[in-house]
Amino acid sequence: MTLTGDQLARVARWLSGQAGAPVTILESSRLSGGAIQENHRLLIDVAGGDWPGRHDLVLRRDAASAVATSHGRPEEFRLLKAAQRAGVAVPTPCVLCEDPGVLGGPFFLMHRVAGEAKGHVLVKHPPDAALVAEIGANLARLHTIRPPRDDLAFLGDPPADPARAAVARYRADLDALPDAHPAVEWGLAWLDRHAPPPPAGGAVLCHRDYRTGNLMIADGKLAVTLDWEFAGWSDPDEDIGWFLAKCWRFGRWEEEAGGLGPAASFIRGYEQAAGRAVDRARLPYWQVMAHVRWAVIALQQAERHNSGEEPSLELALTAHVVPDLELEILEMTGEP
Amino acid sequence: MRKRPSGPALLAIAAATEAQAGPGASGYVAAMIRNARAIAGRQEAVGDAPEVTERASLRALLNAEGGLADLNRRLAAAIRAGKAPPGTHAHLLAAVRAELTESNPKSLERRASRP
Repeated sequence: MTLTGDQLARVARWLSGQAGAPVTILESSRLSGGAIQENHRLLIDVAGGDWPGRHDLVLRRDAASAVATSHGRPEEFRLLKAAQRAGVAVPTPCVLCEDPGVLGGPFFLMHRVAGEAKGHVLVKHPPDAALVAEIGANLARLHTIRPPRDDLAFLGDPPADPARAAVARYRADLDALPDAHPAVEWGLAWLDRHAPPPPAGGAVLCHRDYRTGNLMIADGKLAVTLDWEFAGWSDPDEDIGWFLAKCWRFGRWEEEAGGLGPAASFIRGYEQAAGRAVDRARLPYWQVMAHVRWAVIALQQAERHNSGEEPSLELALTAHVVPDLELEILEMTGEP
Repeated sequence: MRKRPSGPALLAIAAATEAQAGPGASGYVAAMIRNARAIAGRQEAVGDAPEVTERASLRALLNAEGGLADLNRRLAAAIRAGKAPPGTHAHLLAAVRAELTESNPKSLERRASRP
């Protein structure tokens, strides 16, 4: 829903207090976005103070129909701050408002960035080794963030064994669904048997949905990293495997780095920025994990439709991406 | 086993979405409606044959009787317990391929040609 005049007036008043100068909202419009968050474009003018001049911003807040997700707006704001300080390309976070008197719930403002994130559009451009190298380097910079961090305390303790913790979590997720899914179970049993030792350097901050579709590209360059709601402490190879997984190539199978370019360039870009070698032998494991995890999420989304909680054709159709993932899992794992 | 919603339930949400969107449905919504009807159409064309085949395969694999959902539950539990009977992988491959011919037959065609 669009913001009302009263809401905009309250936002302008609150922002004026933050800026130490009068703030005028010149334009406001609802941007397309998910069912969980609402995004509104705000063009503001600040008459002096700490941030004088015009600013093209996005206001992000929970939608009225928001369900409990892993991170709310205040957590997302803190993740963006931490990522930006580590040199990760993100929309610059500006201010967080946790006063429910303004919009009823927390919201934050960040700079608006133009570009293209849609996977099916991006994979029509020629393969770009430099772009995927930059995407790899960007991920390596994120992975320099290590626990413990007071500002990220909401993430909880890092798992001692990220692979086995993930297997346990997805088994519990399957148990909460009405039907059994033996092909996904097959994948989980393989992941349990083949779990690698925990990462030598310990867990790091992982995005946990780092893929084509969540990266905004402008003029052939990485502009920003979006969608931080799944971020958490994990094995850095989880993010690398997720990015390289076949299910995120948007049909351009031969370009292994998210359908955008060669895997070797992506990994080299990562290694140069990280100053550590990626153990390529560990990546197939996390690619199986990627397909299993996406299958579990897809089944959960379909269940939101099936249970009557949220009737939606989009959620209903998500059930029908699962057989493709299941076949991939079976082909990758083979006989025990 | 077909993922839910299948068949009539899929057609119902497609019809409800179409009624709500009206003639001004966006390209994305129209494509979803077409996809849902195509899946339901392919399921209707083959009827319950794939599920009859899958159930027979499960009965032989597990040496047990039961309905399709129940047998799949038993197989899932056996896999998790590390006691998948020999032939489980081949059974799952056949069942998943049969499902994919309904949910996304183009994916099967593309698999045949990709590296």
